Amino acid sequence: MAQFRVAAPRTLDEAFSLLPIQDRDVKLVAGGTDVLIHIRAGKSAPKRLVLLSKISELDDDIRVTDTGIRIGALARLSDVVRHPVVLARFTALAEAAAQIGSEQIRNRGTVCGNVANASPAGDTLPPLYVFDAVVNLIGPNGRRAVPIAAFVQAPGRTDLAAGELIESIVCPFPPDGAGSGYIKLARRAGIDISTVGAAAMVCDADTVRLALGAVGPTPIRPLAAEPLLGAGLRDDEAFDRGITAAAEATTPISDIRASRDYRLAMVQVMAREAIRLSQQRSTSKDRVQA
Amino acid sequence: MNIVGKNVLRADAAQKVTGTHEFAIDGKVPGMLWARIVRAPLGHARIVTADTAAARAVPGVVSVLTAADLPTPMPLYGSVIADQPLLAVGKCRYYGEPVAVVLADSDEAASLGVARTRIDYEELPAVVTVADALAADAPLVHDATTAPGSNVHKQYEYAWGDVEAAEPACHTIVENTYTFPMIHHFALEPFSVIAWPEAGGVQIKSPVQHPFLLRRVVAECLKLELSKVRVMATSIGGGFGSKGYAKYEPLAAYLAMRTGRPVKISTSLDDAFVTARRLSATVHMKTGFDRDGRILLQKVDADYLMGAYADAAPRITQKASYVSCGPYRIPNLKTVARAIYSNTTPSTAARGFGMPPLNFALETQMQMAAKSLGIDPVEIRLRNLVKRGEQLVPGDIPADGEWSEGLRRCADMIGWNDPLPPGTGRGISIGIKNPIPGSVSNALVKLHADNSLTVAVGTSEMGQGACTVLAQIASEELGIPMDRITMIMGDTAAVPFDVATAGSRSTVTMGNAVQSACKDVVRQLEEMAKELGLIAPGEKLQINGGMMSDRQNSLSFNDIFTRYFSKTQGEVVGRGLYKGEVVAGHPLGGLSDFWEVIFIAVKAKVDPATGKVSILKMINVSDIGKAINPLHCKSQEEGGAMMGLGHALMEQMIYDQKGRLRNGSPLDYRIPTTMDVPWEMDSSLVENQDGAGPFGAKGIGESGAITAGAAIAAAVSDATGVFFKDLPITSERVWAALSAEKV
Amino acid sequence: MTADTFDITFTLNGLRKSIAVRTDAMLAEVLRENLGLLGTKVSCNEGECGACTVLIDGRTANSCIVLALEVDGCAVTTIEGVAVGGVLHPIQESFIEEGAVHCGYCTPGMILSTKALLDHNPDPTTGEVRKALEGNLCRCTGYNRILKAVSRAAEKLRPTPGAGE
Ligand SMILES: Cc1cc2nc3c(=O)[nH]c(=O)nc-3n(C[C@H](O)[C@H](O)[C@H](O)COP(=O)(O)OP(=O)(O)OC[C@H]3O[C@@H](n4cnc5c(N)ncnc54)[C@H](O)[C@@H]3O)c2cc1C
Ligand code: FES
Ligand code: FES
Repeated sequence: MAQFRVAAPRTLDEAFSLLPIQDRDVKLVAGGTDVLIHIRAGKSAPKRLVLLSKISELDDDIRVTDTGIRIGALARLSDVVRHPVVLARFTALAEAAAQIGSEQIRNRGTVCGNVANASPAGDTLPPLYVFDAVVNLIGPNGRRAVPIAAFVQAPGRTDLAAGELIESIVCPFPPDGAGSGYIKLARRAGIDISTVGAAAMVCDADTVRLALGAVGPTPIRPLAAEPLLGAGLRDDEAFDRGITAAAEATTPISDIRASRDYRLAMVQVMAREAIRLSQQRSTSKDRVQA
Repeated sequence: MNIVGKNVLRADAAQKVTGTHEFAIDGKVPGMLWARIVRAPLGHARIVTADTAAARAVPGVVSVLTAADLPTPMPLYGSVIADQPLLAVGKCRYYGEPVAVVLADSDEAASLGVARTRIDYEELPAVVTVADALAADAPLVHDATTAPGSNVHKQYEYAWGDVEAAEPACHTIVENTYTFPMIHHFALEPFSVIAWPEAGGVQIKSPVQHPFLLRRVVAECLKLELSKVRVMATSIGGGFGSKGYAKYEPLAAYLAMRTGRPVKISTSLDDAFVTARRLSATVHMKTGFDRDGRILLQKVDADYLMGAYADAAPRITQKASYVSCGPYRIPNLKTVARAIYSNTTPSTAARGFGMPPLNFALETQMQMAAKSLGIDPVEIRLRNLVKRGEQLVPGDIPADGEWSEGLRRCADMIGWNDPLPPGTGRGISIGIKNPIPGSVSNALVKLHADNSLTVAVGTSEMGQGACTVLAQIASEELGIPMDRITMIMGDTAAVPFDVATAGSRSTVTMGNAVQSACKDVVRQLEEMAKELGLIAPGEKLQINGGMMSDRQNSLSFNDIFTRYFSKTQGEVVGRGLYKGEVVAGHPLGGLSDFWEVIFIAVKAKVDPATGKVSILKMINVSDIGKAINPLHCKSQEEGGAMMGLGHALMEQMIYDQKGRLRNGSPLDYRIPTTMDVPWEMDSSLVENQDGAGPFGAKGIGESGAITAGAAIAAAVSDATGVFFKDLPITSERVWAALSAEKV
Repeated sequence: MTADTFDITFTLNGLRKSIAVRTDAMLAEVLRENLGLLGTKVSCNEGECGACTVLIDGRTANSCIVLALEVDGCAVTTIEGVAVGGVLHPIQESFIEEGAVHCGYCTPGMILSTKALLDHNPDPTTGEVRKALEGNLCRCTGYNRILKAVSRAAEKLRPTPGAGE
């Protein structure tokens, strides 16, 4: 009389055999902090859960490579928070992960789960957008790599094809001297879903990357505004125009957490703050007119 | 004093830190049925059809009952008026109302049965706000309220002096409308109850604050004699008023008697949001001041929005508005308060019993008056505070403390005159409340042959520490060490009558009862000693460490005992009664035993860009008379103040137009976390031994929750220059107010 | 093992346990219903309140949203495993001494979160304590006394200089 069956495959092949088609009746589980809550809340009612935790080919490593970092499918948010290289080179990601849920949630929840869940308010997404992360997928027909912005498609919808799963997420190192930061606005100081989130990366005196969370169906990387913002590092007026342009790229809604108007105003405040913070952290800031 | 005034550690803490403390939700009785409730998905709807076949087919499900399966007329329950049905009949009146119940051999089967029950509804227009309820063509929540054709259940009026005549003399009039949202208690322990049939009656185990009141309500609902209903109050995992009045117990009792089996109703924390809430209110207040900031008049119209059933709400409306003058001398006053039905969660007692909305309004009025008259906020309060012995509410007890002392101390502790960095502000406020007027508490104290003691009281242990504090009082009184005292609490078959564990009353009223029961024990021992010829008639005894001394020779209780009875027999049973002053014709039935007065000062920082408020420092000062256990008192204050902080900054239940609760879960109903605690928090107690309780104690417990909101609002106003009249003061509201200012 | 159950073996409060669990059972349910360990409290059942906090391999988790079969091969500590041999743990003592226990419903979870914090970080700052406990709601105490209790426990647990020589 179980609500759902659970399978704990030991290998990817075994897992693929359980995931014949992209099927609402089957759900993958990493930390379960989204899946199990959605089942509880009646938002989904899968017949079968497939656990990722026992699959031998998947790992929970955060590996530093020559070109960047690779975050394994099972890497926990709390490991990302504490990882020295993430802290130093991908500060915005560590900061975002640190602000997800509580210690208990971060100890179970994974970065890949946060991405696959594709919530507009998912906190690791804006930093991953800023770091041009690539999602490595694996399926019965092989592997493919998809840029994060193409992977996340709509609330709860991703580019995951039938039977595929995320094997890892890779972030190339940002340029030397780059600084980054994540700012989150929520209704209270402790454990809360973002009302607005902003991640930024700044390097040299003229490069800004920005991604905004909870102000559209997916995180928004206002590419058109970034050159203005870059120029704005030395020119307040350009900076203001850049911020306005960035806000114009968003399409926030009103919900019980906040109104659209508030989000529209806050996205500018958060973006400014995230960029300022990143700029302070960028070691090339001596070349910047603060 | 040896024990009173000491930070005696909680008697039940060792069990609580090891996880061995039992809560009702942990309980099981052999042969028990598990019940889960099917709830209404709309605020107001006609129940068209119920299809329970699929639910009944779930293995383990024993039965699925709707109103059609229950007696006609449906048994109703309620403490003020019996208006709440065991299951909704014909229509549901609030989102989450019990419409059917599934009984099963396991909790999972019962839950699955709930999921499989299909009930069809026809939506009706719902009343979710005061404006909805009072509209000319408002749908009626009940067909026949006391004011037929209206959702106004009752109106209460208080007046003295002549408000109209006083108006011309006013230099400044402050007039505003304030709103206070629907708030949920958010006790961590979900509601659960076990009932089982017993000897033609029923026994109930429930985390209930008022076991005797519950006994009455169940007896009335099921037409049983009081003696046939036994309520055993279990230790409460947070109540704050939500577990005061009958909730699921009448249904559980009915099901147990109907099935002849023990029945446990379990609910989730989400269910608690559709079980109990605080009254929301719209308060219109007009306060007139002379040039020096002295209040000349006050006119109050307070519309309290009850839920779909009365619960304790009419009494709350009546009682809170009785003290609409706050702690201030108001020569001319007129207050009209209405208790109004709506299609929302039934509203019940909640820490502060209706005072927070009035307090927020009045203290904000004071703040505004101070600003417009150019008087310091502390000073304007000092000018209006009643002095010791001065009348507050005409006909009630006068001020029982020198309240300016507490206000000054509170101001000092926050550093009232220290320079403030930009973007920060300071606020101060005073909260006041009276306990249950004319109330009754009985206690039994049994002295045993081995010099140990049993204290039997109707008070419930709900985390406030009553089991420790009442034992301290007995220990002090009889000189028997704490570890030889056993508390029996809240079992109506084992302890004498007490009206309620509420209103910050137990230390005073039950404390007095325990103290007088102890004195009764001593009196009896004296009689026994005299009868044995151990002391001369008329001689007075000294009590020391459980020993009685006749000056020359020392006699222990035990000596008297064994000589009077024998080594193996006997018990000295002391009886104590405290009865508040009942006054015929008094609107509340009697006089206040004491005034619970608290002072809170807050330093807050406001980020003008986001509107985010951070509380830098919070000070609580209580006029406590005598702290039986100072540590308990301070941590009660702080707990109350943090609850008040939540009310002030983030808490509110949000309904949609169909009367559906949109944030009835901890996911979207926010309460403060460790990250939201003020960066500095300190408490202090004013102790002048001037209370009505034992050793001069007054009550505490609701305190912080009454006025923390007002103090925070004042600090935010001080920081921003904008007054907030609607709680909660969310970041968005602050931002919106500041943006409007800029335009 | 049937289709609906799963055999797991794990260490529970230091003792090896093998048990068949329903595949859809959460750890909290198994601890409370199957193993009779009622010290783990359940409140929100959705990961928000922390009342059900246990340690899995030394890290905190909300046992209400962890599938029981996920702890196969892990070490689980519940509140019942904190006091050893009937002697209260210094964290438990500190909670009592500071008045950090009111109704007690949040207490087991609070104590386990505190333990995980102090096991990894014996000298936390106030900010770190607050952050470590943000997932443990308490409606009674206002947290102030809990924060004090954690500091006191940290002090008690720190080796006194010179001791052990
Ligand atoms: C109390 C609480 C607070 C929270 N607070 C926040 C917050 O502040 N910010 C925030 O962003 N989130 C928050 N969350 C959501 C959640 O914790 C995060 O999204 C977390 O990162 C999800 O990771 P997980 O491993 O637990 O995901 P799971 O629940 O295991 O999975 C989430 C989704 O991803 C899919 N999935 C997981 N792994 C893979 C994979 N390798 N390949 C393909 N699909 C996969 C699953 O099928 C599912 O659809 C909160 C959750 C709770 C319960
Ligand atoms: S019961 Fe598990 S987090 Fe609340
Ligand atoms: S002590 Fe009651 S919830 Fe914390």
